[in-house]
Amino acid sequence: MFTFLFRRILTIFLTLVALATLTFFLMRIVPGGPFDSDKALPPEIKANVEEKFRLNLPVWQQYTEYMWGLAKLDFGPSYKYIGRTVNDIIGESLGVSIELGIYALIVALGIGLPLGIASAYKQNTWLDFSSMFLAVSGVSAPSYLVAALLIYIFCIRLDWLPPALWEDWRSAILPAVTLGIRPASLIARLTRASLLESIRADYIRTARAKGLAETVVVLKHALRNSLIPVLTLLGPLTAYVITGSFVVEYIFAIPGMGKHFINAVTNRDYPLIMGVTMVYGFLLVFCNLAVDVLYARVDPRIRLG
Amino acid sequence: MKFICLVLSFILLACSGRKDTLRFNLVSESLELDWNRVSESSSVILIDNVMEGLTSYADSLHSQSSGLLRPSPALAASWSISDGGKTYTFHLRENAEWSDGVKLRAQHFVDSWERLLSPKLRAETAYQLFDVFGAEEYNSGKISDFSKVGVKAIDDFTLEVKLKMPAPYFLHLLTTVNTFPIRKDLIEKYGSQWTKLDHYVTLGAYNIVDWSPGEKFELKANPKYYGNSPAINRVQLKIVQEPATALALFQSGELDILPRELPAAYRDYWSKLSGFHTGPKLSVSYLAFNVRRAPFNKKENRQIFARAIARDELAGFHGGAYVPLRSWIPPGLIAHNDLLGIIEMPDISLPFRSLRLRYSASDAWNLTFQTIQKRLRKNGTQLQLEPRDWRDYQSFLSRLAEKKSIRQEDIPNILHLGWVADFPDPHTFMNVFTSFSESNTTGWKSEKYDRLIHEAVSTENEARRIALYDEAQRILLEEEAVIVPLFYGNHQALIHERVKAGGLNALDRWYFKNLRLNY
Repeated sequence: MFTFLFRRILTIFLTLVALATLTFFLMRIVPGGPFDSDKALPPEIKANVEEKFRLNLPVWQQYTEYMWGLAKLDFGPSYKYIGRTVNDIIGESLGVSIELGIYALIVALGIGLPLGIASAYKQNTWLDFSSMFLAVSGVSAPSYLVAALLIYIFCIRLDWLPPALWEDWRSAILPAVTLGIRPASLIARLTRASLLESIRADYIRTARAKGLAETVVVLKHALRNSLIPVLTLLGPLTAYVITGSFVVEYIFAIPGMGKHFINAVTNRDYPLIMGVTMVYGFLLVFCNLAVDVLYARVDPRIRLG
Repeated sequence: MKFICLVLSFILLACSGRKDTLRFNLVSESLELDWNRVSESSSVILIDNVMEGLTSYADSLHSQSSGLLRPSPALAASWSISDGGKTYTFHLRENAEWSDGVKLRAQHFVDSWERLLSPKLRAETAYQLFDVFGAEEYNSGKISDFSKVGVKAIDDFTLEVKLKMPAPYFLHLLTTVNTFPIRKDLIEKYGSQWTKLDHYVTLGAYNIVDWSPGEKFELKANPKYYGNSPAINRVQLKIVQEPATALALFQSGELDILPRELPAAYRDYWSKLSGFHTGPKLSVSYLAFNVRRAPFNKKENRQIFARAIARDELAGFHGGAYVPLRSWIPPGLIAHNDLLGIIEMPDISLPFRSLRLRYSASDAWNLTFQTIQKRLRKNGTQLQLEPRDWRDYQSFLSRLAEKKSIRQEDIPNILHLGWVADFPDPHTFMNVFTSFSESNTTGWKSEKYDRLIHEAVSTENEARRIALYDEAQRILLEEEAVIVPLFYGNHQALIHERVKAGGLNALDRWYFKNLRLNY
C-alpha cells in the first residue's frame, strides 16, 4: 500500500511538472501578448509595462522564475486584474466552483441512481426504454444546449427560476441540473448495466429461492454489489463537475473559477492561465488517486502493491 | 398547485424591496480600481460614479437633437483660459470632501498627475496628459523634476495648467478617470493595498459598499457628496459576460440596463422592445491601404478600389451595430461632413490580379469580407482574406507601429482597422494619419496634411476649424484615398421602462446620479 502510494505521488508530481512546462511554453507560442491592445501604446510605455511583469527577460529565465514560484505555491500577479495575485483570484472563485460541483453531484446521484435501478428492475419495459433514452440524450446533449432549454422553459415560459446569477438557493438549481445531467446519465447507465449483471448471479438466485420479496432482493442484495463500479466512477465525476463547469459558469454568470479559464486565455493573462491549469490538473490527478485507493477499500479482491 | 403558489409568492416577495435599487449590467470583470491606471470600459463606468474630475458631462444621456457632448463643471466650479488657449486656471469647489472627511485640495490633482506621468508607475494611460507642457518628457525620463511640468497648485483651491500648445479638446480630457485627483497620503500608507475596499477613499456621488469578486459591486449614495444627492439611492453592478444570459436577465426583470452589444441571433426580438435605445458612438471602422508597395503606392489604384466597396449590403451582417459612412469624422462631432468621401460604383472593373486583406476575425466580419471578396471576384480581382485572432492581430499592428521585425512583404495590401474617440473632438480622428502618429499603419505621409491638422488644433474659431478639417478630409479620402471608411459604430442598449432616461452618451459614459427610477 505504501509503495503504491509513494509511486503514485511521485507520478503525480512528475505529471504536474510536465503539465506546467507544457502549458508555459504553449502559451508563449500562441501569437499576441497580454499588452497588445487596440490603441497602439507609445513604445516606451509598453517597454515599461513589460519590464514590470518581467516579460522582457529571455523565456527560459521567465520559466525558471515561474517554476521556482510554483514550488512555493506562489502563482504570481495577474496581468489583467492589476493589484491582485492569481492566488487571490483562485481563492475567491474555487469555493464557488466546488459548491456548484457538489450540487451537481447531488443532482447526478439523485437522478441517476433511481433511474438506473428502475430500468434494471423493469428491464425491457417502456420505463426502461424511456429512462435509457433520457440517459443517452443526457450524455449527448452539450451543456450550452441543456442550459438554453432549461432557461427557456423554467425562466421565460414558466417564470419560476432566475435565469442566471449566484444569489440564493433558487439561482443554484438550473446550473446544478445543467452540470449534473451528464454525470446523472452516466450513473444511470452504469447502475443499470451492473445491476442487471448482479441480478443474474448465483447468490441472487439463492435469495429468490429463499422466497424473499423481489424489492428486497434487488435493493438489498443485488444493488449493494453493483454499486462498486458506480462508486469508482464518482472520482472522475467529481473532477468533471468541478473542472468541467466553465461553460456552465459562463452561461449562468457564476463567479467560479471556470470563467477565468476562458477569459485568461483570451486576455493572454499568462500567470492566471497557469494557475487555473495547475489547480485543475491537481484536482484531476488527485481524484484519480482517491478512486484507486477507494477501489481497494470497497473491493477486497483488489490489492494494491 | 398550492406549492407552486407558495413558491410564486416567495418570488414576488423577493422582487419587492428593489424599488430604490438600479441593477446595471457590467460586461467585463477585469476591474481595476486604481483610477490613474484604468483603461477598460467596465472600470470606467464604476470610477465615473464613485469619483469625479475637474469636468464632467452634465447629462449622462445626451439629447439626440444637439448631438454634441460639452464638458461641464464638476470638481472645478469654474475656469478661465488665457495665453491663447495654452493656460487653464481652475477654481475648485470649496465644499468637496473625501469620504474620510478630508477636504479636496488642488494639490490632490497635482499628486495624481505626477503619479500618472511618473515613469515608475508605468501606467499605459499616461498618454492622456501628453498635451500638458513637459508631461511627455517627464514620462519618458527626459526630465526628472516634476516642478518643470505644467501643472501647479496656486493655492488650496486654484489649479493652473500650462499646455505645450492650444488643445481645444483639453476640457474633454479632464473628464477621463485617469486625471481624477488622488490621495497621495493614503497611497503611501497602504501601498498597492489602497484600492482594497477598507482603505478605498473617494468623493463621487456614490460609495462602494460591497464587492463580491466576479459577481457584483454594490454602490450607495455618498452622504458627503458636495452636489445634490442622487435620485437613485442604491446601484448594483452585476457582472454578466454572456450576451444571451444578460438578455434573459433583462427579460425576467433582474437587470434594468444592458449597456452593451446584444446577441445578434435575437435581434428581431430585442430591437422591437420599448426599452431598446440606439445612437451614434464615436468610432469608425475602415480599410487602410499599404501605400509602401504596389499596387497601392499609386493613388489612382487606391481611388478605384475605394469605389468598389458597397457599404449598404455589408451593414446587414452587423445587426445594427454599424452604419455606413463614407467620410472619416463620424456624426456626433463638429466637422462631420457626409458629402466627403469617394462615391461607390460597386460594379466597376478593377485592374488588380490579387490582393491581401487582414482583419481581426469574428462571424460578422468574416461574412462582411467574404461578401467583398465575392463581389471583387466578379470584377476580376482575387482578394485573399487573412482573418486573425484579436490579440495576434494587435501584436502584428504594434510591431508594425514600432517598425521592428517585420518584412515589407509581410504587410498585406489592406488592413481592416477601427478607431474609437479618446475625446469628442475631430482631432482624435484626424490625428491618426499625421506622419508622427503611432496609429498610422498606412505608411502615407503628407506635410500638407500635417500642417492642416496642426493649424486646426491650434485655432479656437469653430468655423475655421471645420473648414480646415474639410480640406484635410478631402485630401485623406478623395485626392489621396489613403483609407476607405466603412461604418461608424452605433451604441445599442436596453433600458427598462422603470428607468427614466434620454438617449445614449456617445462616449458610453454612464452617470447614475443623473438617472431616476419611475417605480
